[in-house]
Amino acid sequence: MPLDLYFDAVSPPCRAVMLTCRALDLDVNMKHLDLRKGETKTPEFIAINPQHTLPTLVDGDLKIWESRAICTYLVSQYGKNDSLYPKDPTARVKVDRLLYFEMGTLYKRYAEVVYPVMRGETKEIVPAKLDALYEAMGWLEGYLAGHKWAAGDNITVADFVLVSSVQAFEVNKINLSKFKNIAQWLSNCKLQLKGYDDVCNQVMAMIKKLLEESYSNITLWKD
Amino acid sequence: MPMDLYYDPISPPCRAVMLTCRALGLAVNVKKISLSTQDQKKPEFLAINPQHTVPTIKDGDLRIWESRAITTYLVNQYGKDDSYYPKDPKIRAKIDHLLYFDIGTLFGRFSEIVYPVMRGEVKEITPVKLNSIYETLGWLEGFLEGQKWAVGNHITVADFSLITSIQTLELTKVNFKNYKNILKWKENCQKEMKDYDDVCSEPLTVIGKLIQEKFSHVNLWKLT
Repeated sequence: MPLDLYFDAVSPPCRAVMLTCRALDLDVNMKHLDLRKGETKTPEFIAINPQHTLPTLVDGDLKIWESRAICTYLVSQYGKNDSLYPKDPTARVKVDRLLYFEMGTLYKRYAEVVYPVMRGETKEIVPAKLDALYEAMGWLEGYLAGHKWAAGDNITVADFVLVSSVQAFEVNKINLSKFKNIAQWLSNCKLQLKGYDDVCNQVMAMIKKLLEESYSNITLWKD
Repeated sequence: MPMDLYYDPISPPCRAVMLTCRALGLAVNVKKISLSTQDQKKPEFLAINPQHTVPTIKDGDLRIWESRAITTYLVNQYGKDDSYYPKDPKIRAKIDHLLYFDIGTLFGRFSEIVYPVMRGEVKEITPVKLNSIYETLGWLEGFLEGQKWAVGNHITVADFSLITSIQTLELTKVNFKNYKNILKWKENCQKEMKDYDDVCSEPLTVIGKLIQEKFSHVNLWKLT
């Protein structure tokens, strides 16, 4: 029985799950809900997920949200092997650390810079908050040193989760020239992650246009 | 060889790791890092963890931070069985969901609201922000419906992370009165988690005093 995935591709966590599904060649019913139109706040969806967040996965009687929990579940349940989320505890913890880093630090600091502007609460990017985002990028730069993919020599769910955020930073004009490892890794992701073009490119082009038209005061450029 | 745990008991994520170590009967070398004197920013610690956060563990060559990655690693690597973090993918997914709920929503919203006040950056807690805490508690109340522990029939790493967040919220006078499931579960944690009092009592007293002395206006009371 196919899985139901409630998603909106403008959301980076949704894209992370979609990239995972493509990597696993999973048969998924894609159920689009438009976040900006409030389609997650219907009684029907709240009955599935009281937190009304995307992505949400329904697999038989299992209803799961939190994108990173979904990604790791999909590999554990459906992966032909464990390369996307290694079973060995020492290898696995390196992936998990990056998943929590992305959620609790990297993406969080990006959201703290950008979302108040997009919500109209402030007109400008706060310099201290922008510094905090570049600090987090500096840490990611260090974590990527010496190996091709985020957690080592193989693609893992950490790459799907991290790239879904970093690609959003890129369209907000973060200065990637300061971060050679990130730029190289991002390029590898674009070329080699299965379904990247289909999952990401069109929606990123749309987001870029939206930012330019509606939020031209958002640029994360910093020398 | 026991692993090194860089630790400050006033940090809720640190206590979650310690509760996990005690549950597993794991010997650790505790290396105290005092956040109040900024020990974490000293060069020796930065060399271990460039993000300068606690908890951090050093297990042979492996250096890991992010408390929820640590607790799950400890069970995977050292658990006599998988009861604190069952291997079954569906059960594990439910636990992982709650770990991310804790970092992103429960502890996440609490930190966003309380820490700017404690740092003196903001003077008050707005109604909208206060409501977001209670919205989160409402969700947790729902997740605990009909069960003794956060997931399944026994204690898991989800309980260790969630309880250390909830016990800290309590010090800021969050009103738990109408959250019967949370109250009952909290009582069970205190009674049945190994070394709960040893790990938590003193740090909570310290934090409670700090809040009363310095930040008496951090009061998350709301008539729910």
